[in-house]
Amino acid sequence: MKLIAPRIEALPVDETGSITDLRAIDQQQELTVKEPANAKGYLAMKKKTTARLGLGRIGTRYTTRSVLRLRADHAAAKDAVWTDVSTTFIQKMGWLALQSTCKTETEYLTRPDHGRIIAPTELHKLTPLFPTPPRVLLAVGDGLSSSAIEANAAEVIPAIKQGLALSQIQIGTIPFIRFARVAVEDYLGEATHADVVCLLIGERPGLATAKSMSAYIAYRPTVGMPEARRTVVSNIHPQGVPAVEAGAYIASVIKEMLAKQASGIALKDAK
Amino acid sequence: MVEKLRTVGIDIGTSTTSLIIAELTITDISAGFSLPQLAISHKRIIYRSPVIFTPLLSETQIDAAQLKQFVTSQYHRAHVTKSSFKLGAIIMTGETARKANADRVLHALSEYAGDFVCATAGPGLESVIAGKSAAHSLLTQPDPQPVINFDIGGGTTNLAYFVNGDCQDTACFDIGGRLIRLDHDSNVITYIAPKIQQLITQLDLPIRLGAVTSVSQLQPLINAMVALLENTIGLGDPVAYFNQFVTDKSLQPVPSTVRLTFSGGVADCLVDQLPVDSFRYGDIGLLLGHTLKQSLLFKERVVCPADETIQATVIGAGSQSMILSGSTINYDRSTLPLKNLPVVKVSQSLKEYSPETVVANIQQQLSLFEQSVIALALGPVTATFEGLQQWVAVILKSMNASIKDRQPLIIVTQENVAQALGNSLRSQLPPNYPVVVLDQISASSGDYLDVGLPVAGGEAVPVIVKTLIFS
Repeated sequence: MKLIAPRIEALPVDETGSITDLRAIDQQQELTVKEPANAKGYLAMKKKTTARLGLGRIGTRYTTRSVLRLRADHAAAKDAVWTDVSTTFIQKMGWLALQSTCKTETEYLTRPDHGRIIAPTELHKLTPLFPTPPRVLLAVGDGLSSSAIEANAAEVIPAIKQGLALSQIQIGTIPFIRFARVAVEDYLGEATHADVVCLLIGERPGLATAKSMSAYIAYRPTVGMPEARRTVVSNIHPQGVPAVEAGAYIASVIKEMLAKQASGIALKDAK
Repeated sequence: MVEKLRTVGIDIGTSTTSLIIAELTITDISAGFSLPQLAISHKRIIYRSPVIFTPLLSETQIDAAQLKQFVTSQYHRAHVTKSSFKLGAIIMTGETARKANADRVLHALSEYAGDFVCATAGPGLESVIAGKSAAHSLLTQPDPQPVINFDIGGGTTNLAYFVNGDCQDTACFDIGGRLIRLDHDSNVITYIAPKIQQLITQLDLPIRLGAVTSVSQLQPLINAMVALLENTIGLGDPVAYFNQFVTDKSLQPVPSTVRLTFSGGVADCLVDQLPVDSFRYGDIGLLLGHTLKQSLLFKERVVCPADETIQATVIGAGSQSMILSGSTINYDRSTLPLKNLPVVKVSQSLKEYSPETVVANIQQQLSLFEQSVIALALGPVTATFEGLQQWVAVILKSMNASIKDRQPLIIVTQENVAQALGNSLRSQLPPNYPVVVLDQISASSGDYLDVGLPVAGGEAVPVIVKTLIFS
């Protein structure tokens, strides 16, 4: 029997000789279909979507490369969920570290209800910092993606602060809540009596990006209020809305909430 | 959110003038809960005027009074008034733009036709907007193939070359259907354009002003004109008189796979058989069209039907020239609208050049303008908070003089950063300083900007980037 040696192409390496991280390759600019009839048109189409188009195939199967890429992206998404926002980053940003009632990542994933609550003992660390009710409380939660926070928070926050400062609104200490679900902002609102609470939180990572962050903003949130009272600005990530522009936009949304004394659907109706 | 707004387009060409009214629908196309993203989702022509001959007082003077009357009567028929329009464009093209009173008539008419109607002319812009409406269905296919539109009017032929739906190059030549005019009944030549007269002399043809002519006498001249048009896209033997017919510039070399479309008045004359009454329009339009149909342009290239022919330019002026700014922008409302702002383009990025170099470059460009209100078009901007603060420092330093005079500060960028950049500027400027920062606008030095009043609840503003006003 004659054996056929597999054709293995050398993996691309960077200038240091290390194998290039698969995920560093911009998929939207790569067409791996062999002998496409119209490569230019295919690439133009790929530019318009993050879907995995034009991967090519071997017989009826995916190519090894595209399967590896899918698994690498999936791994990055899982990492974003399972890693914590680093303590050095929290310190560097000057945030006040708090935690929801979840004790572990597993509890956070299996008990969303626990992630929505902050214990009074934790809130007592925050309330002394706001002896008078602030107009705006800015908070950060890890949510389902810690990488989203590390990638965007440092850009969004100064832009929000700058936008608000133009209307003489100052931001005090920013609490960071570990194992946070969106509704923890309601506890923060009730504890500080802030007019507007804006929570920056990591979104559930997907295969297109693991670094997407959202802002959930509410006027005088209360525990148990309907979700319709929240205004959300989503898709803040390097391939989506630039974080700094999103920050300026969030500041304008907050100012509008203060003026109209409403948020969510009610704010839309007030327009 | 859906908003409809009306625009007007008026085209004053060498031979004909027409007017259209378009309705643009503006919709927020952002996905779900993201930042607003307004776009023109639909364009509809709601009124087309008849095509009239451009009224002239003499060979060098446009009849402004008759043009005004035309606009008034068409507005009346369309049940609109000048206040119906947020924006519009009057385009003066071909030979008409070179008349002695062209500039004055154009600006007077733009005031008369509507508060925010901008006056614009220039062969580059005309080529693009005519091409966009003539080749519209080819250009808006999912995978647009390269296409060249020939807009052949009375005085000029405007070429626009599109690749992947975007204009790559334009060209303009002094070839048109009314460069020779004659009396319909007697076939006596009543007008020969100077450049055509030159060509007649060079070719030693027996065509004379004031003399009776015929199809067979004119045919060699028409063949020469068509040979030149073949040359424009690299077909046929090069003709010696090519350069003297270039209005502004010729076209870059184009691939042989390029498709062609034809618009302009002569596009309606592309006949296989010359009619008996070949001079029915009192000009050489039918002869030119007939000869073009037999030319290499049709034999060796794929010609596609155009969506618009004689009204391609006016439809483009009314519906294609306006773009919408990004939807998160920053402006001082009392500063708007703005008209005819010269653009100063900063092409250096702060990643590669020192702030001092960029400031020096801006100030050098500013010194060329007499007026102090200009639009600063920033080059590549790094969309980070720190990157924006660096630009703010550069802008404040280079615009120092006009800031002292409290002149409005107008900045445009391509990147989606206007709201953040505007906030950063405002935090450094005195309170209530007039600032307008718009994004998703690309403009170059030499362009002029018109900015209309805000639309869609103030989230975006309509903008016209004019490539040239009058040279």
